[in-house]
Amino acid sequence: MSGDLQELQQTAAAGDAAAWTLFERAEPRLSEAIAAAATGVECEAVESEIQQLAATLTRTRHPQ
Amino acid sequence: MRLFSLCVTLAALGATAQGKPTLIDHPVEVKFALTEAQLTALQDGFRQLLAKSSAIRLPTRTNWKAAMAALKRQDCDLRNECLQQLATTAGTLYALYAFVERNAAGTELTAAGRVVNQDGVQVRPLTQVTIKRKGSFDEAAREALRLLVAQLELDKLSPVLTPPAVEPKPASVVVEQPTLAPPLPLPLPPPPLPPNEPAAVASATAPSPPPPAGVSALRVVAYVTGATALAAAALTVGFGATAASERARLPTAGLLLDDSQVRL
Repeated sequence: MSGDLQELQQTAAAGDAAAWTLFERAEPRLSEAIAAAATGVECEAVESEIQQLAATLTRTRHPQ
Repeated sequence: MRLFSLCVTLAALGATAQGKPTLIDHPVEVKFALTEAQLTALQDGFRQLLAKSSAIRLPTRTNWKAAMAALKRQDCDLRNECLQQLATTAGTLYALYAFVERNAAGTELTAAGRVVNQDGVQVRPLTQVTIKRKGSFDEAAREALRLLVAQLELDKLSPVLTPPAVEPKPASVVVEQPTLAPPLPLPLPPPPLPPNEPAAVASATAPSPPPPAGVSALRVVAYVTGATALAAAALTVGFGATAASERARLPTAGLLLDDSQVRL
């Protein structure tokens, strides 16, 4: 999942300053959650958060 | 089981990104006065600039902070070992050091940087980009760093480290380095045959190589020493026996009474 975060980091960097700031604020908490995830449920919860952040960043990059 | 496979899938997704070279950036050093906020913005912008590149992978801020906290040295501007340690700690293939400075008049800004890989090899020598300052110092510094990143061609970094080419050495040089060869067992002399074993059995076995000359000399010395010791022991026993037999003839009072006793 850290690979996912790195991909997400690139997406955020390629976006505007707001996307970058959004990612930079969310990343420490997500990294901590990934490191602490010990069960499948926790793993799925973190993945869900990452997906939400990815969706937000994508909307920021391609506003409808 | 489904959840477990989800985690496995996520891990596999992360592993698919291993085809890109990984790089960690040392904090940009600015060799002129900037406010703390300007410096932070410049360093953050440099990270964003590097992260934007789709050809390399940059550690996340959390991993970056952990690697920088573990570095505990400040000589990455001069020493390759410093950047090597940074890359090793961060688990990246490469580490980048960059700085920005201005000329005395303040009309030009220079951004410079170099890249060292995890083996301590400088794969990008110190590269400099100088621009004429048009706006503020931090804006000019940002532009100089952008040009520097392009100049360093980070997208052409290899995603794997190849060992440095080793020139073949002449055979004589290899012979002069015996310590590189595995240690050979010392030649041992053949074990001595039992004394009652017939000579025919010994001759029937595979012929053993003759013992070295040094071993035969030692054997001769051992035989001579043993024979000398046996002779000395026999002499000692002889003297002892003679003394014991003559002791019976001595007077019990300890006084010699006649001439025959004196002659003895």
